[in-house]
Amino acid sequence: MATSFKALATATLTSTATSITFSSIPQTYTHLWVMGQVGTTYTTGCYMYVRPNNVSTNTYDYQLIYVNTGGITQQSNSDTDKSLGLVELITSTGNSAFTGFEIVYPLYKSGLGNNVWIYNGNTQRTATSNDNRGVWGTASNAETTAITSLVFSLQYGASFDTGTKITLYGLD
Amino acid sequence: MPTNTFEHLGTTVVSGSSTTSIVFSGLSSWTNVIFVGRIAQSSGSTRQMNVNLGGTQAFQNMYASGSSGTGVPNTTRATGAGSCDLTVASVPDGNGVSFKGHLIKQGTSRGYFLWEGGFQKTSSTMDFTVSNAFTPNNVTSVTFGFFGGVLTAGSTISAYGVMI
Repeated sequence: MATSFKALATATLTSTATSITFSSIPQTYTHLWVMGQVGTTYTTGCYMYVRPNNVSTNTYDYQLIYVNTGGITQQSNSDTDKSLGLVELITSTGNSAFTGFEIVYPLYKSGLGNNVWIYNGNTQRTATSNDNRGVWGTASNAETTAITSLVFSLQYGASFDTGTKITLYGLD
Repeated sequence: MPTNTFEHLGTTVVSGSSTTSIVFSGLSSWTNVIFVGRIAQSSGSTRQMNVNLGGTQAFQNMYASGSSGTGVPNTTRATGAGSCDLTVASVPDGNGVSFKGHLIKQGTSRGYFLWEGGFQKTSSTMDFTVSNAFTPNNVTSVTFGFFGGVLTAGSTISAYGVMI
């Protein structure tokens, strides 16, 4: 049986950029998996967002469980987040504070219910502390369109730092 | 012995409306097994998806629900023999539960199962559950069971074997 975890595309930044786009995603796999290491030049911390198909309307929702020095807590997005069509993923602290993450998109080609994905990320808060986060995102207004592109960006229009690397995988 | 380090073990796609369980067997050769899926149940007021790992020692859940600024993580610990019920949640009509499960069993005495799943709760809200469980080290099959409603056609679970 063939190996079935294939790297479809990798974005590696040799200069800063405000967005990273994976377009023309093949519709030949069952699931998608994204892994990355992300840094930002923004110095006070910002969120990273991902927009399937670059949809920016009022469609997204999430639940977040995270642990930091203050203990464990839960958070969901605000109406403002939804109106922006953005999904909070991780915070970065700027300047070489790279953070790792993974996102799984089950059945990205079809709308069995709405598009929902699973996120795990680790946030470096300071030089000596970090958060663990799990995010659950959904396009809550019947966003069932097949995912053909993914656009990553940062809050405040901040830039991804040089060395940021994100890879998109397809799973049979 | 598997020849690949990451192998697609199979994908089950529900075609009818009578499926109450999905089983993946023949897992003994792998040190890790990853499950990825999306299921929906079309009826029933209480719909759940559970995972039977074939003999359970303990599991714990974290659960997030509600609107911004409300609710707290909910932890649950249960012990006992028999099946390991890692409940995701009830599933509204037509909306899917997406999940990823990771069975790690290269240990010498017991294995471990990490489950992450969530679902769209209403037209504009969703819930999220993280569960982990100790398992026997020699898990050879995993059964996903569905209760309280019938699966919607197209519900899908894939299994991947990983050697590390």
